[in-house]
Amino acid sequence: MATQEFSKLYYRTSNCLTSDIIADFAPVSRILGVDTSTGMGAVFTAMGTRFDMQYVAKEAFMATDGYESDTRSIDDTPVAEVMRYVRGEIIAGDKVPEKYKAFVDAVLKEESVYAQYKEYSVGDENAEMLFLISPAAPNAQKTAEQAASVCKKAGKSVYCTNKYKDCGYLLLALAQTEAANTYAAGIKEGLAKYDSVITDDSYVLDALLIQFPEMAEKIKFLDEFLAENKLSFSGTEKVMLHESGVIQRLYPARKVNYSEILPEAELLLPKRSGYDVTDSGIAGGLGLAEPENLLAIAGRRMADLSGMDQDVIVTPCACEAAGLNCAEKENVMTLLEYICR
Amino acid sequence: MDANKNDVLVIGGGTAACVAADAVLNAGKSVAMVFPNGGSSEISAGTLDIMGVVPGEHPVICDDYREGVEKLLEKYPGHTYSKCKGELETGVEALLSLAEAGEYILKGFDGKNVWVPNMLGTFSVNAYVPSTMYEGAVVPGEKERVLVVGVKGNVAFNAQAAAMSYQQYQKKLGGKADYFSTEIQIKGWGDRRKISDGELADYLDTKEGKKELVSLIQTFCMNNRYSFDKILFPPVLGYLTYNELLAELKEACGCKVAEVAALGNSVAGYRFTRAVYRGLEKKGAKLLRGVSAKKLEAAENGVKVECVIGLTDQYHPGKRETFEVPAVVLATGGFVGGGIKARHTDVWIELLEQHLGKVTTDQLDRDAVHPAGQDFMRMGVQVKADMSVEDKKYNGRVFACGDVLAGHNSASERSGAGIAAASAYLAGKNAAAKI
Repeated sequence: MATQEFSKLYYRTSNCLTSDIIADFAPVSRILGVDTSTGMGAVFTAMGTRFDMQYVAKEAFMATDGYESDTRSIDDTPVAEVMRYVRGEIIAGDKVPEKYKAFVDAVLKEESVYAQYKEYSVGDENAEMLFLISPAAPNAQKTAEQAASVCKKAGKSVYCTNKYKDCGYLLLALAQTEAANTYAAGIKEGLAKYDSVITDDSYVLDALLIQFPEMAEKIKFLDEFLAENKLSFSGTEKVMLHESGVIQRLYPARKVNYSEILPEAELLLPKRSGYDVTDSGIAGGLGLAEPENLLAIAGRRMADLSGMDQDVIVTPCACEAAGLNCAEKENVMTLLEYICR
Repeated sequence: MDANKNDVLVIGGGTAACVAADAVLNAGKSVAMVFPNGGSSEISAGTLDIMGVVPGEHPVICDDYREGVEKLLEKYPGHTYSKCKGELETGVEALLSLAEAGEYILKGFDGKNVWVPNMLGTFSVNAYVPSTMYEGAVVPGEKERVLVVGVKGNVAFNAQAAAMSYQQYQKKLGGKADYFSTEIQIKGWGDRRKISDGELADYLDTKEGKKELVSLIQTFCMNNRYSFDKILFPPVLGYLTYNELLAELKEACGCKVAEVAALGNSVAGYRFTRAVYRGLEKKGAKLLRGVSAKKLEAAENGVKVECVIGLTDQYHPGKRETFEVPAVVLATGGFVGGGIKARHTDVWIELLEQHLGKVTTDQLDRDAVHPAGQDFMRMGVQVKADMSVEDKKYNGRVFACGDVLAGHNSASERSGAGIAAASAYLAGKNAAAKI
């Protein structure tokens, strides 16, 4: 992003983030409140002080689901990109607020931000497929067992691991491009030797597709892998689907038809779904920087998902499931858990 | 995600695009719509204006929108309606039925325009309003007691100021109501000083939110010495379950209940747009969301449309794909976030690579909201009688409709939805005939 364009873009972005209608889709004002400070909004205040990064730091760390705002922005303001840029500038200017410092340090040190994360790998490293377990998965061993059973059904051998953590997603989200590129270079060899790379974490998928466009053909989200291998699973429950915002908005060409994967189930979608899908608030781990924000967004989404007499709520993304489960309203299963139950 | 070679491709996601897509489906042909984000309808008030005011030094307010169209054409013979007024009723019907299929009911007034109270404290002229606003319409000469309810912290709507303003303003419309106001305090979202429309609507979609609002209003009405004939709320009674909440409020209050009309960028606009999309999907339209058309090029017996699939930014270049289709309908919208671009004095349409000229001083009035309207707003794409663009390079296979068209000033005329519906239905029908 050219710096000279930034002020203009930021002005439009702050407009999006604090406008009444988009506020529902961007969590900034959910916690801060619209127009908290001067009647012109916290972000506008920052503009008034000639854009001092310390004033916008909080917004930048709270605008986790900026791509939702992008879908509502009629003049194509890249809200997510601008807020990512701001996060980068805050870090570069050493203006990270105290409450986010531990989070940022963990990301910069390439540690996982998920408290339950423990490195886990299983299977033959020379297998045909690599399954990247989400670092947000509460039980990596269980996920690996489930992934192995699905891959076996497809007649493929698999090596399951979470050793690459989020594959540099959070470095990208904090606009640490150089560090993310270095991280990617370090894991490239480990990915290249496999025929296909599957993950059930949409943020891991995003990081992989950003860093390795040359491998895009063999990098798949779990549901795409199931659909391509024509794997279908029984079960006649009413399944409420929480789709992946990453797929719906950034990679819509990768969408799959769930009625082929779950042909006997009664599939339900909340009214806000598809392109409109609202996120869990976890944003690939960024949401953990501001738990109050995460809980508010997850709670809002769970209200959407809970109201239709469903038997079970399922999401293909393990990271989204972790976010939604923070709301502690109803247990959300990952697609992998559901098909292996 | 694909448009196939037999689809009419509609570029846009607003009112005109949806009606054009519906016209193609009604002609028995298949259609795909591409749009990167919400269209004009998403930032609208969720109401339909067809023909409200003939602009001029002394603007003429139209009681009947059909008569209004005739009066407008007398004054502006080359107006967009001169090409498409024959499809006005069909286009509007199509829009109403799409919205209804998506559970958004729009109600009309037998061809008459009505005035509904709005968030500014004035009244807006409309031909169709959603069921949530229907009972709020001004009934000239009727004496009624109207309570205007505001919500503490929801700074977008000041009930007290609105009620005072309605009281004065209604006299011009023959209204004889007495307006009262109250401000309620909803506590369910915590200790917050201010709350946006979006957040309020979101909260009122929840069981707790509904219960709290109904209980507060019921208590207020029970403790009030006089009863009310009508209660007006800000247009935030939920994104999803507003009909349910409205019914509960009516039962609890025992009187008419309505939302006041929203201004642009509203919760109602979101409801309307999503309902129309649902209606289209039920009819079999392919809605390719997050897809932007980047280039149009004539092809043998069709048009090639270069698109980018997915939202794009520095990390996400999107997937480039070229669709070759028999016909295209351009429904990109006009100046505000639409297909007409302007920089300094130059105005152009990017997709058609067409320069529309320069804005000159005689097209500008110093009064930004002059009743005659700003003349440059009439700039747009020129089309033939069948709504195909005049540029011969597209062989009559690219059609245009809605706000991108030249020859109208829908903002001053209060004719946006009507022009969109009429021109889009004609464009869609003729585009379908190319298959």
